[in-house]
Parts: sequence; structure tokens; C-alpha cells
Amino acid sequence: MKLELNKTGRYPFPMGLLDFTLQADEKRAFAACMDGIYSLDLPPRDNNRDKPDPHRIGHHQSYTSSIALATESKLFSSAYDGTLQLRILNEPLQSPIEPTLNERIHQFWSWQMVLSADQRYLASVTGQYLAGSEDYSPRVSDEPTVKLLSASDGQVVHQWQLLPSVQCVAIDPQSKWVAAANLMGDIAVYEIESGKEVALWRTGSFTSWGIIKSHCYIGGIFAITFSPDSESIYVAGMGDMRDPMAGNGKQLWQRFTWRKTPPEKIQESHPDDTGEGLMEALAFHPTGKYFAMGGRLRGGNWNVGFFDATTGRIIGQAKTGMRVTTIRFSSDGQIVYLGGTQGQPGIKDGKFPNFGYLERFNITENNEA
Amino acid sequence: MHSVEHPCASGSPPGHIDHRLHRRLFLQGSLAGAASIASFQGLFTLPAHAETVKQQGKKCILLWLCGAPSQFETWDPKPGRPTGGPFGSIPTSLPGVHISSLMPKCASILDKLTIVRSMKTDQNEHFQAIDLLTRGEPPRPPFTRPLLGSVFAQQFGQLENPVPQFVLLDPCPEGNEFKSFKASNWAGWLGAEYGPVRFGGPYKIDHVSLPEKMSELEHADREALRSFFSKKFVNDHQEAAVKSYNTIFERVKGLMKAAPLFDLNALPESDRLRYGPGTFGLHTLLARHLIENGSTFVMVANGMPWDCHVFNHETHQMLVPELDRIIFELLQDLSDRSMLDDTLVLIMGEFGRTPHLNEARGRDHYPNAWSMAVAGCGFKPGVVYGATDENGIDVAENPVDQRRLFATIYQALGLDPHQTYNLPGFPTFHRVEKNATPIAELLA
Repeated sequence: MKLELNKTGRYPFPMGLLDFTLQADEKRAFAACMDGIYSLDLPPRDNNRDKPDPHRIGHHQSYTSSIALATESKLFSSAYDGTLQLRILNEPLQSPIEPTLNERIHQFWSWQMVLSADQRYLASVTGQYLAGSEDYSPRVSDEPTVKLLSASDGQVVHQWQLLPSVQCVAIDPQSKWVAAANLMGDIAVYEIESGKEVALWRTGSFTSWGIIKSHCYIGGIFAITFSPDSESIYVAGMGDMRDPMAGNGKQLWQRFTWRKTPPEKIQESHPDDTGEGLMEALAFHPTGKYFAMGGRLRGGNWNVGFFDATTGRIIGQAKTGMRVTTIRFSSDGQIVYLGGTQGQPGIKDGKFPNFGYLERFNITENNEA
Repeated sequence: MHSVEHPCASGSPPGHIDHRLHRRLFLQGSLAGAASIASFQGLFTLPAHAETVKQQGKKCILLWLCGAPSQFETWDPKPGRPTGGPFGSIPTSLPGVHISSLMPKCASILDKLTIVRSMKTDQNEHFQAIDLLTRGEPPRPPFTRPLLGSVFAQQFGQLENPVPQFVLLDPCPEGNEFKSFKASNWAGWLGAEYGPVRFGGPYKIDHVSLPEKMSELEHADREALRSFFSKKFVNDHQEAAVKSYNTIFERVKGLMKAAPLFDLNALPESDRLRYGPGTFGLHTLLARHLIENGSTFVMVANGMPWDCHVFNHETHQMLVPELDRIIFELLQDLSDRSMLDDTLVLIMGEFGRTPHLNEARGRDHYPNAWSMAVAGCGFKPGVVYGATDENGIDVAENPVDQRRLFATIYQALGLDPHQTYNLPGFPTFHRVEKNATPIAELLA
């Protein structure tokens, strides 16, 4: 199977878009941006022309890093100020919407926050990279770096310690397991019911220690997701960099069977399929037949690749001209939405031009290829 | 007309044998040699000599933030602005002045620091900018202007002192443009004796122990023989290079005696805990120790970690807190030892970083508006000089280029910024060209 992608919409935001979520009917998107939380009323799928304006409905004291929508009316957001906010959405949407919950959940950034499929839990990860040894290995955090919170009141259900910085988190489709990964390539899986850590292993493929410019660690795992059957964990980032400040590592994903002891890598992106650049988004297609990985293109042909879940080979690609931070498929699987950011432009005519974007693509599956 | 400095010891042009020797023997830190190591105290058989060596002349520690740190994440935050990045700002001990929230320790002692927020230079490539900000002037081939450290070594150093006067501590053997710069002629027209001694990797000096089978006597005989042939070669060829070569041997002999000074493990563990655990902090502690014991200028670097074209915030979240702690501990120690009046602490890179974030989570090179910090030795503490606009895009008041910076540094040291170098066969050079004036507001 090969995929063809046809862009049907491009919607700008004032600043970089770090995450977004969609209402089930796809009539509205909510975006976590560097300067706050935005709502955007999306045109119908067959309307490729209209460019609606996003409306800022709230903000944190720093970059909003994650956003999640529960039951169509509860909008969670977390940010680099370490806070979790909840807004209750009422029609028509006001601007701004004051949060009903504004809780400091981390001393440092919330790198990423996700909502469980059953909407009972939120998981958020944190951790400041501080020098812990002569070679700049990370220091153990003073606070737990992985937190599972109740989606009803934001209270901590479980919390765990994983070496900073913990840069991504996922909850499995059955809402039974939490997985998190960090700067050093450590991947941990926790059981929600018992609060036990059930797996912890390290992949050395994503982390650089600079031999050219910097004697410190850089890179790590930036995206993590479970397979639809929850049996595998996929992680993404950038392969080892010769020059740690050039961002020239391979676009890379790896797949692990996490229930084995020790967990085992069973698949990874094929070198022939990939170029260079940091990958920071993973998403499975609703059918489970393929998944998408996206990020920044530094060298190569694509910055969003679609991979056959069985063979691991690339079956489709997109070159968006922006760093993709989030990928979401429509529930029917016919549309893929990509959110991201370009480089920040300089002031023009006294204003900062837009540089965050949400893009919409139709997916055509070609089974003859 | 200003007074005249020493004539050039080695004013030969690039490519000359002198430069090849400097490069190989001084800058690669290749210290092949042999001698048994006495304790540091054993260096000084006469107490009076020890006191002379340790006398309080002008000293300098340069924390060289190679690669160029972001002014937004250090001294000139712009919270809430589109260019500001994710980190906030915090109040300091100076009323109304805020710095990055990544620097709480420096915030508590900002009244001891001097901050320049209006650096504006014109080189945006590393090699050229490092050259500019360490020498104070763009190159004028074939003449090579000495680094600030070499000027320090010449003006305040003691060549007879076995402790190296100009030391570069940099454990990173690579470093792209910085590596290239390290291979250049640092002492320039002042001559090899004012060049740096570089140490990298482990903190002890390698290759300075006598081979087991060689006695002290045999080593002395070999040195006498080498010295004889060198003199003969000089007489026959009149090569300035040989003088440099001899200087190196003298330097190595001194290093062999001073080696214990470089043993960090000999320093109190409590000090290592305060400065460490990272290499940059440990080397800063070592710099303090060297300054206390006779070195004149110590430059501390650690490759080019600040060159954050990717992961700017992800890297600065680690580097800045380390720098914050190091500056705090260093200034505290120098103050406790009553050394701050005579010790200049310079904290700077070769430029700043762009207000605009690039697509790779990074900030790029930016010489148009950036910041640096100074403390001690004639600088007025508690001054924040200059300002940038609300987005940090340009200097809004009191721009400072490298000439005015160097003029101010020389003035603070009690050196005439406009003094001429009397170099046979050379054009007239000044310590600082173009009659750049010191910044009076920065001087105590």
C-alpha cells in the first residue's frame, strides 16, 4: 500500500504551535501555542479556501506545551511554567476563558501531558537537565518526574522518578499503562492500577554526547506511543549526531516489546527510508495498519513519514516546510492533521508575522502500488 | 604620545617556523619531558621568593562561554515578549533589575557584578568573533595581535615564576571553529613566552614525570646538551624560533615543578562539591587555585557548548544554572580571600544569540545586541550598563563594541589603552585602536 496526501487547508497561528486537539466532529481545533491557548473554528472538509482566525482563549506564564479535550467541554492544558489548567467550555466560546483549575504540578516544565482514552487520567512529565557528574550526566531530580493525575480534580494518583529530562509520555489505548522516555534514552512503563514500574530499559540510539562541540548530553526521545494492541511501544527522536549543535542526526523510530524481560527492540526505521532531523510526533492510524512520525526536516525528502505497521517500511510522506510537533488522524482515518512551527520570522511592518500552523491533508490509500 | 612597550620578541609572519613551533608545542599542550615532581611547597626554597611569587598583582579569570550564550536566558531576559523564550525573569539584589530565572544565585549578588547589556559587534562567525573578542581588534595580516591573556602575562606576569602565567583550561580537544582558533598564534607579536599553556582532559598534567630508568642527573645532563646545541644553532642561524623553542623548554621545566598545582584531587572535597560536578565548574575552581598560586591569566573553556542552533532552551536549562553557581562560588571565594580588588573576572562569549527562534528549537548567532558580565579589579560593581529594545533585537542605549570594552578593561587594570607597541619593522599599533575611550560608568 502507498499513501497519497493532498493538502486541503493551512491555518496560521501567531506563534509556534506545540500541540493541538480536535473536537470529535472536527469543527473546532484547540491549540497549545508558545503564547497561549487558541481555538480555531475549522472550515468543512470540502472548503479549502477559508482561513479562519484563531482566538486566544487563555494562557500560562510560559509556553503552553500540551492540550487535551475531555467530553467536549473540559479543556486541559499544561505548560513550561509547570502548571496544569482546566477550562470549562460553554457555547459560544468566550475569550478569554478563565481556568477553573490552575495547579502547579511540577517545579519545572511540563514537557508533555496526555489524557487517557477513558478520560480518567492525565499523565504529565517534567525534569530539568542539570549536571550530575563530571561528564554532565543528568542529576536525579528533586521531584518525581512522571505524574499520573486524576482528570476529575487534578490530584496526584501516582508519581514516579525517571532521570531528567523526561520529554514525552503516553497512556495505552486500554488506559492501563503509562510509558515515559527521557533525554538519556530511558524508557519506563508503569501500571496504572498498582502504581508499579513494570519495565525500564535504555536505548542508546537517540542521545548524543558531543565530541565536536559540547561535553554534555543532547537529544533523547521526544515522542512515545503504544501500538493499538498496547503490546508494543514506539519511540521517536533523532539518531546520534556527529555535531550535536547541528541537528544532523537520522530521523529515527524504534519499536520495543515492553513485556519481555528485558524489553527487546523488534523494529526500527530503515536507513534508506529516512533523512536527517529531530522527530517529535508519533500517531497511529485508526485502523492500526500504519503510523506516522513527524518532526523537522534537516536533510532528506520528508518531515512526516507514514510507515507500514507490519514491515516498518515507509509508505507515504509529506514535506511541510515546518517543524511538525503533533500529528492527529480523523476518527474515520481519511484526514491527517499536522501542527507545528516554522522558524520565527523577524518583525515586518511593525509586527511579528505568524509562524505556527495547523495543516489538513486528505489521505488516499493506493493498494495497487 | 604614549609610553613604549617592550619590543617584539618574535614578530615573524604567519607560516614562519616560529609559528609552527608555537602551534605544536604550546597550543596542543604537548608537554613531553621528564623530571621527578617535588611538592609544590618544595618549589620555593626561600620563603621570600614564595612571597614574591604569590604577591598580589593583577590577575584575571576569563570564563569563556564559547559558542556564544543567549542573552535572553542569562543577563537580558524579555519575559512575555515574542522573542523571550520560555524562561521567566527574577528580581535581583539591584532594585528594578531582573535577570533570567535560571540565575537565582547571581541574582542575589548582582550588586557585585557589572553587566553590559548593549554589546554590539560586527562578526557573526565563530572564528572571527572569537578572534575579535579575545584580541580586541580584527586581524591585520601578517601582523598578529596578542590575546588579552598574553597582554596580561606580559604586563603582570613573572616569567621567572615556574607557575605558568597564561593558562587555558579546556578539556574538549575538538570544537570546530574553536579548535581552529586554538591552533592559531595567541601571543602574536609579544612572542612565545607570553603564549598560553593549555591543559585538557584529565586535570593532572601528563608527561611530566621522569621515566623510571632516568635519573635526575641524567636528565640534567640531557638538558645541558640540548641547551648547548640550541645556542650553537642560534649562533649559526640566528633563528628567532630557537629562542621560542628554548622558552618552551624553560616553560616545561617550570610545569614539571608546578604539576601538583593542577591536581584537583588535592583540593578540598568541599570546594569540588561547590564548583562541580561538571568539568567547567571544576576547571573554574582550578583557575581560582592557579590564580591564588601565581598564575596571571586563566581562561576556562569547555568546547563550544553554548552554540545552540538546536535545542537552545533544552541546553541552556542545564548550562545556565551551572554558570550561575560557578559565578556565585567564584566571586564569593575571591571576595572571602580579599582577591576581588586585584582579580578581574570576565564572563563572556564571542557574541549573543538571535531574538528569533529557529525551526530547530534553537537560536542562531547574533552580534547585534548581546550581554556580558565583569567583576572585580577596577570595575564598578552593581552597574547594569546599556539596554536593548523591548524585544532584544537592537541596542537601545549605550552601544559597546570590542574596542570600548578592551579600552575599559585596560583602564581598569591601570594600563594605558592607547599605548603604542614599539615593534621593529611594524606599523604603529596601539593596545586599543581608533582612540576608543573607556566607559567611565563602568569604572570604580
